[in-house]
Amino acid sequence: MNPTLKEVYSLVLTQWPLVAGAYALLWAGMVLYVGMALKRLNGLGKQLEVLEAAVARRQAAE
Amino acid sequence: MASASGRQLRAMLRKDIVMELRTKEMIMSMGLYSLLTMVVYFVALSQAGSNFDPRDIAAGLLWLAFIFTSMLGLNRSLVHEKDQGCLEALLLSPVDRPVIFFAKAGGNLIFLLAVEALTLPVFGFLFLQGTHLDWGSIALLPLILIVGSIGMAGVGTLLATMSVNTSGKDFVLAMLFIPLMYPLLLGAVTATGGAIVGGAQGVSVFWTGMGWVVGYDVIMLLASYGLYEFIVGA
Amino acid sequence: MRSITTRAMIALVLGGVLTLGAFIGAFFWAGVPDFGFVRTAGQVDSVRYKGPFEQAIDEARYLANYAGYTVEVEADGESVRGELVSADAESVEIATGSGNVTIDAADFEAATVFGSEYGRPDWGQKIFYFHVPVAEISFVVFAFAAFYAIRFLMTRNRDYDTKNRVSMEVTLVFVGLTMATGILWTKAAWGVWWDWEPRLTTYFILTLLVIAYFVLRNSVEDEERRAVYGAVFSILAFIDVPISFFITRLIPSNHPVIEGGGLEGPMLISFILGQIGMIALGYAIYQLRMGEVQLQERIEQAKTLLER
Repeated sequence: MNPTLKEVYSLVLTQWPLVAGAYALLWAGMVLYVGMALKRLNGLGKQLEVLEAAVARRQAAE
Repeated sequence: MASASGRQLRAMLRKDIVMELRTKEMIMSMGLYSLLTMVVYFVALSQAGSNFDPRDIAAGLLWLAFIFTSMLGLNRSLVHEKDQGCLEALLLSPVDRPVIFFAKAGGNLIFLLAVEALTLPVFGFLFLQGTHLDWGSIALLPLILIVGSIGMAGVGTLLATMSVNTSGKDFVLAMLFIPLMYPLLLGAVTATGGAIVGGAQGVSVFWTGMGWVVGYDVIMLLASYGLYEFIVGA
Repeated sequence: MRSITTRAMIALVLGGVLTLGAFIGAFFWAGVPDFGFVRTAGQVDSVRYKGPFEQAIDEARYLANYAGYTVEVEADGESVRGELVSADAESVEIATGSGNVTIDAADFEAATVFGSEYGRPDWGQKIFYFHVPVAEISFVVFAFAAFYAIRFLMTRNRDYDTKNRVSMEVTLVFVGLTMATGILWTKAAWGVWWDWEPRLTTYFILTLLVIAYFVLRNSVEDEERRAVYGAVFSILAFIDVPISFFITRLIPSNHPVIEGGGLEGPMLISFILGQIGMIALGYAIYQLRMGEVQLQERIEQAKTLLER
């Protein structure tokens, strides 16, 4: 690399890991939260299916 | 109607004050608590040496003592009401809900001001001896104490009415009260600091802080007054 | 129920694509604004060139620091321009187009050093395309929570309480993300992790208030009472939002303030993409949580049916 460019970037690039880290953190947070919400939603959906099937069986028997 | 509300308000205030005069529980506990705070301040400052001007930190220390003693008092004043079934009786009686709010807030304001009036000279005696004080601007202090205490008592009464019905009363009150008090505290500490430091600049700082606190009082008291009905009825 | 989840998924995909677009636009398309200057000896084409800076040198020996720079030395009423080879108390040697010239230091009168000045790229500004939309949405969702709280107190309809609680949860998510990205930016831009600066302080208070809302709700047993207390407290806590928003405009503050018309071209487009994407994400998270709450209610119903 050109020595001058090296000089410029040595002065300014100390910022970038933090900014990229902020982005990564934000993405990770979003993905984690949404993923957990979707997983819970899936679990609840399955639980509901089982319960509603049980209700239907009960009603058919009555 | 207005005179009836006024009578009810006075009766409820008198009830609180008579009860306090008989037991002296609130004043004793709050006063002793603020004295204990002074001991903690001494310990906290014991390593600071003598190179700092106590006037610079006096305002913050004072309001720290006031906010913690006020939480103690707020909690007690409503725990009494609840434990003895007084609040339910009040709700059954034909008293307007805002009157209950103003009576409780007024009682808390009186006790708070009494404790502040006790704490202020003790604090000055313990920490501000030998410093130069501008008595002209110190004379402004009661103004900010009263205006600040009005906001603390008003919002605090609303929040304490909520927190007495929760598990973990004291912690919930602190969690709700301190963040909501932040704008008032900042303004009050600014104004008190200005009054203690004195001089033309100090007085102008005092009025800036006063402006903040008065604005906060108006907004928060209106909100508390409007919302108390829902809280007390729930 | 299906429709809510479908809407949430559409908003989720839309928000994901748009925020990704904003991310790409911010890093690979939008320019980097300058933040101060870097002064260097040479001239590099690939870095934006800002023009020469000038510095008068009053003594020849100071010139020694500028070996390699282009200098213009005035000596004996004449001026010589070229690259400085060496300078000391005796003589100054300059390489001109027509060979090296040596000037006796005694004749030295003045010199101008020509260097190059480059804008210092402000990479920290890149946080703007993400941090600002997240913070804005945290305010907006809080406003919805306060609105639902007022509606609940007016109508006593339990649906509004649920909406208020879910809005506060979404607010908590966005407030947390704002705090996390903000703290990293603070380190990048100001060199410290935290500063008790008006915007940061009021936002910290906002975080505490949102947490306090959940502390309050969790410590009330009675459901009706929990709903009323939550609604009342979220209205009271909302008062901090305008304070936090306007404080940088009222009190001198280090926190940057967006001024209208400050952005254009790729920067503006990336920012708007980020904002729309973040609104979609906020909506998606809200709807996902609402769908979850409704599923839970249906499960409870089915369970009570089975228990009969």
